[in-house]
Amino acid sequence: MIRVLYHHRKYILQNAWSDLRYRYAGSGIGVIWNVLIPLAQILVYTVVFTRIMAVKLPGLASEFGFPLYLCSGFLPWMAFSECVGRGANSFLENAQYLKKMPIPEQVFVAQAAMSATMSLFISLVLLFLLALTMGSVPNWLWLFFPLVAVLFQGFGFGLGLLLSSLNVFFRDIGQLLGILLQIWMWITPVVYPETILPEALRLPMKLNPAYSFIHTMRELFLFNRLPEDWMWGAMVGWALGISALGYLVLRELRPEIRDVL
Amino acid sequence: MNDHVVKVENLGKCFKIYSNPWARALEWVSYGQKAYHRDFWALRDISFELKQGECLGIIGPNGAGKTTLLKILTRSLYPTAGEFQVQGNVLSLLELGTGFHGELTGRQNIYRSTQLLGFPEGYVSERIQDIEEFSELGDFFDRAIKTYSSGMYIRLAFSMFVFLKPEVLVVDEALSVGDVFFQQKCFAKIRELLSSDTTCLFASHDMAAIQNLCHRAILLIHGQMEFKGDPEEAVSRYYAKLGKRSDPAKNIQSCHRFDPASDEGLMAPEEILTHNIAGNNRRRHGAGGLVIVGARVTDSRGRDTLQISMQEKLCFHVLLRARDKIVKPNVGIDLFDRLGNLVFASGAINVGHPLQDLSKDDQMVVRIDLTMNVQPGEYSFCLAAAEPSADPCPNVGYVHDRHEMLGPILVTYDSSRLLPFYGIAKLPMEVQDCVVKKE
Repeated sequence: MIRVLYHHRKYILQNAWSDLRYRYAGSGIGVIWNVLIPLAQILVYTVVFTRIMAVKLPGLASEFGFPLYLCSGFLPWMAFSECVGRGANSFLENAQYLKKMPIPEQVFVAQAAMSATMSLFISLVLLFLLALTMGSVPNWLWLFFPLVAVLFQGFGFGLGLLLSSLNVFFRDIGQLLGILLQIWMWITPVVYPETILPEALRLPMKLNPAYSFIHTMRELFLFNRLPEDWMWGAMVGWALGISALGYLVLRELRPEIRDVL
Repeated sequence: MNDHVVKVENLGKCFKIYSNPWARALEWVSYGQKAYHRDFWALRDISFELKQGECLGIIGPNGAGKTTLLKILTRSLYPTAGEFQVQGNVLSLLELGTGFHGELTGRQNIYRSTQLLGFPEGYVSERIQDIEEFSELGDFFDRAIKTYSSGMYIRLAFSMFVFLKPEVLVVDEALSVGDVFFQQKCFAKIRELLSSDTTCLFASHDMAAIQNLCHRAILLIHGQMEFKGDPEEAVSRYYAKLGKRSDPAKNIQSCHRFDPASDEGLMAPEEILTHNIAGNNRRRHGAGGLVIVGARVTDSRGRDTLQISMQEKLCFHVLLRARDKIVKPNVGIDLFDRLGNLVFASGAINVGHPLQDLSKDDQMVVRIDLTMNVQPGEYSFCLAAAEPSADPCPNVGYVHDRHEMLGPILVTYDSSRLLPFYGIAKLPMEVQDCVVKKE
């Protein structure tokens, strides 16, 4: 699978990039929407949580603490959710190519994942700038942040790969997925601090694969701490495991996928 | 080394038909113990071999499996049974324009699509100039293709494919698009590819094209290979099996105005110019001593038309002007079919009607009546004015003015009636008979 993806690397990269460029084509400011939309969402959540619902963050006293806390979890989550959602739909979306051309299926999932990752990196640059203007001191541990983000996207790619094959046969999956991703976001401490959860829920939360990624990114970025060792294992394991499973399912179903598109 | 470029053995494709998605889920859960689907064999036991430079025609009614077969060979479908081998790169006109992105320009799209098809960038860079010229898109080549008309889109796609020089080319009905001029150009290009050792697979309902281009043909009916061999025989078996079902030409009523003045005899020069069909033609060449100023085409009742029933007469009224002294002028017409074949060409002198010599600034009106004893379909024509050349051979002329690619002429036929002949054109034929009774 890796060989195939490497062979099509140029196509994947270019398409992911033109995806971003042309997604908002025709609108006045075009590419800038890629930045504005996540920013606007962060603003809304910040206002709601700090002004209206008044959440206190232990350990991050400053008034600016919450926007950074929110961004460092919410931006990666957005990218992850886009990666899974679009990945799962990628075979249907690209049916016209699959039906007529001998392109390996996983290329399209990779393309969706790549475009989500690219927009995530744009957002991360903004996040770092925001942090610096708010007085955070850069730490060498920040260098791990993009690495973890890539692992998270790798997990998203695997999930997308798994679901895209199934989605071709059972199209309800695509519809259901939107709802499930919403629920998943709220059972993961993305927009709220995990400390507000009761003690009893802490352990089951660790079984949530998304938790390890979000938690690690926050530890690195906000508290300049390395996560516990098992977290690394969990992240690499989830990303590789799900991708492998996705590939096996694809390989099993491949001969029939193009028949039903 | 294997001298077969394409080798297909007992190929079969089965689609599983499920009554609903849950039936498939049940089948998965039962882990192959129970089948909840019906099998539909779209192809069964197909075997053939192709050497380099050969062209295989694939004919059959709709749903016979032609496209399925080609899709398997281009590896966009997986076969259920049998094996196949295709050597070298395969390009399929099935894919015509599928990789195009509306926001990109023609040029960018060519780079992008070829990348998708796995061609290296340098390979395309070498050919991009030719592609640009062949497509005749001019400025549009560097504009976003969302601004293209559908004809321009096809031009771009086709130009890209022919210049990539694939080892195996797969054509599936794609050539029934575009106007007759573009079709002629496409067929010429396909012939060129065939002569330069490209192997070709050609699925079509166009029997004339199959007989014209292919070395061999297979006839598919309900996914089974009914016949393999000579294309003429394949076509006649196809008709024998199914009967002739359709006729490409539609009988549209023409509604052109009646011009009683030209009922008989010659038109006045002004009359020709009121409905000049050669006025804007830019494809012309020649020495220019005798120019075709205008041409008007009517039916035998003087109505302007380029559409005519089979075996009816078309009248070509040609207005010429001499810019020099012209001795023994000749005026003629060439008729080309959809595939670019010259069906017929002749001139005034050839048919025994010498024209008068002309002095400078003389005008001349020539009327050519041509009975369209040809198959229904679209044709283009060419009008030319010439003088005998210095060459001793009487068949070589000195061309003064030649208008290429006029038309198209549409020859129509009522498909419910028996055709008066088959083949390209009608030859004089008479039949006599006598019954001999048994004594």
